[in-house]
Amino acid sequence: MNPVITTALAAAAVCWMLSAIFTLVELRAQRSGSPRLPIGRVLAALGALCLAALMAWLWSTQQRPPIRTLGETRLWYATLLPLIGLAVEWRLRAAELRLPMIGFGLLFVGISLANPGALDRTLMPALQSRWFVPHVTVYLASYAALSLSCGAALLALWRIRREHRSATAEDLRLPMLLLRIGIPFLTLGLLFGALWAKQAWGHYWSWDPKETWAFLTWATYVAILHAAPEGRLSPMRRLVLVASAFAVVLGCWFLVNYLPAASASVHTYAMPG
Amino acid sequence: MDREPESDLNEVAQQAARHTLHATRSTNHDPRSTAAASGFWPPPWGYPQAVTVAVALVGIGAIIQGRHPALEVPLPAPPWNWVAVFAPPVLLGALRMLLPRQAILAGLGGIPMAVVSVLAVAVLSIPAAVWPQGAEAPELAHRFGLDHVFSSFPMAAALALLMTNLTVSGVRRLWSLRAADLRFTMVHAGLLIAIGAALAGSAAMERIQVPLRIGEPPVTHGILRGEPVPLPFALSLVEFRREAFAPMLLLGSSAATPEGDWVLARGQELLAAGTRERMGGYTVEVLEFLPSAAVVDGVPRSFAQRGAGPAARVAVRDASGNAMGEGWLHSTTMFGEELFLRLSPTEMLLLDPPRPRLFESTIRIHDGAGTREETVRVNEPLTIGHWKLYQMGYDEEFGDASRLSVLEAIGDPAWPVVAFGAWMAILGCLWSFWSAAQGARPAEDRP
Repeated sequence: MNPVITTALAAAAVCWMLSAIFTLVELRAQRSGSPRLPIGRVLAALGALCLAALMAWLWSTQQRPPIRTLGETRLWYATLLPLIGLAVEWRLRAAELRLPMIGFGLLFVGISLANPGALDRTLMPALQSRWFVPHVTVYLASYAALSLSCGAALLALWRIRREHRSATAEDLRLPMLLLRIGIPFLTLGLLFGALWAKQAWGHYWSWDPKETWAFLTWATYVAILHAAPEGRLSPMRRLVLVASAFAVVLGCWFLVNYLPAASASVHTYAMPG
Repeated sequence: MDREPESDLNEVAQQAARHTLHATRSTNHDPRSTAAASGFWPPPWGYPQAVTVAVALVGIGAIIQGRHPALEVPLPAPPWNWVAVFAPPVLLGALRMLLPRQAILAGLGGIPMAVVSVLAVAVLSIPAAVWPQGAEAPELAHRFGLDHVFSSFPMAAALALLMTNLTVSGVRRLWSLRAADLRFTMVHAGLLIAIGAALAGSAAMERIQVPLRIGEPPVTHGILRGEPVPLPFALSLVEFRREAFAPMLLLGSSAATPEGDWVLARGQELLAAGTRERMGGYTVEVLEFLPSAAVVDGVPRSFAQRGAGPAARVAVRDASGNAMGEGWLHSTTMFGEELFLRLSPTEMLLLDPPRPRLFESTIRIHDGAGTREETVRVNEPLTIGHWKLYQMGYDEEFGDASRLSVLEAIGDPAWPVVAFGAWMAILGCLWSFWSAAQGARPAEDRP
């Protein structure tokens, strides 16, 4: 494995582990009414900076956007995750969001350390398009927001269980806000992909297995968004729904590559390895 | 103008509340809806009613499909394809405007129906997310159209329900000047227009394959579904050009599998003279690199000719620095056989054939405007009238010496409408995102 990549990933992981510790201290201090310096936030931002520097280095050395392989999309996701998480945290003053953010970030950085994937400077002609970077970036931004939504819902469920109380509308606020940020990105990803496919192949939608999964993901979240204010589902059920919907994103991102339908996909550049 | 709601979520909630209020008024004051309000169908429709309608429609589609397994939903030729796709929603939209208190229309445009119809399309798509479409399928799957779900009758029923919901829910907000309504309309109407135009356009789209060969007379016919069809222009291939990346190393090993099958691991460096790479415990250094070579008596010689491939002379050392071998690597081309370096009985070093970086065709077009030369490449289609020409393929066996270039002429009259709908939805999405970001405020700052 390339030492630059290992170093950057390890540095980000260390920053985020320390950030998690300081965040726990910060949250405990907040509860007791003696606020601490936001060291956890600074460390989380430092971890993001390590990954952003790594992405810039990869882009420069490979002379192409480093978002082609499955491993590279993991890195780009782990870079966008704290950017979105910290922005929402700053806006909402919700330090607890940092915990799921660091959890997902460490998970994906850990996977990248264990399975870095090969570096490869080649880029097939179909990917040499001005749509490539916006299409992948808005998708991964949506995945980052939706994973944070899932994490915030899990955190709320854990808190409800610990406090032996029932869920309230306030518990839903953070997960639903992140969901509402993720869905426009998800829709943009679909539409950018359709416009790009038209330019590259002449058809905007071909129900390729990856496209079908992208539609399934979009439909799942759109259904949750529309169903949420109906009042027929309890806040607890809505939290469970928001938390479990992220499984469809993982299906679209990773599982599709291992299904029989993948043999018919033109998205072979997104395959593992 | 009313105060803009905090977010789209609130907007949807307000829509639900308005829908409920409106339906309650309908029940109280409108005798037409009082008739519909009894039994299972009291307004506003909830999920049981929405699910019943969806199951009934999709079920009818499944019965038709079960009776005619190979049948695909037929769409009439233009301009009737537009009528077939857009007339029902327009009619329903007009009815919704004329009869705003009609309970069934309110139900068709309600939030439960939105959720159920989008989930119906999603659930029917699942077979295609798992199994390849059009492939050999079990009898039962074929009988219900699961091997061609997107042209099946159940899918058509679900899509019709979704389009109906988008139309009926959107019509009431169409003329509003409120920002939240405009944002809602842009996303929903944009999607309705894009989906409807794509459906209608699928009947009118022409995709004609045009294989061109250098030196042959202008081609006046292409191939559509295996049959020759006339083109509105004539094309001839002047030049085909393919550029490739420098090659990479491959390390083959047969030690890892019990059957002794060769497993190939690709290097990471694009090769050039002086490139050094570590792979599989070896250090490989490129001593000499020929970008274009022919193999003469087992030795590559520089040979600048199309169809020739690169060659690299490499020196290999093991982890202790011991020399493991030195020799030429070359992948098979029309000007030479494959050359590889055996490192051990179970390992060898090879050259990965160069991967394409660009391919393009210079073509001569003969049409009513005269004769001219143009270039078409991947991601840069060429426009001729309402046709677009796409670079699709070439003879990969011959690489940059290919004398064949396969183009595709696509006539898609629906595309401007699809693009209009897509861009409308994109702008609506950006606005929704901005609104969601603005709506994010800490609890103590909220009114």
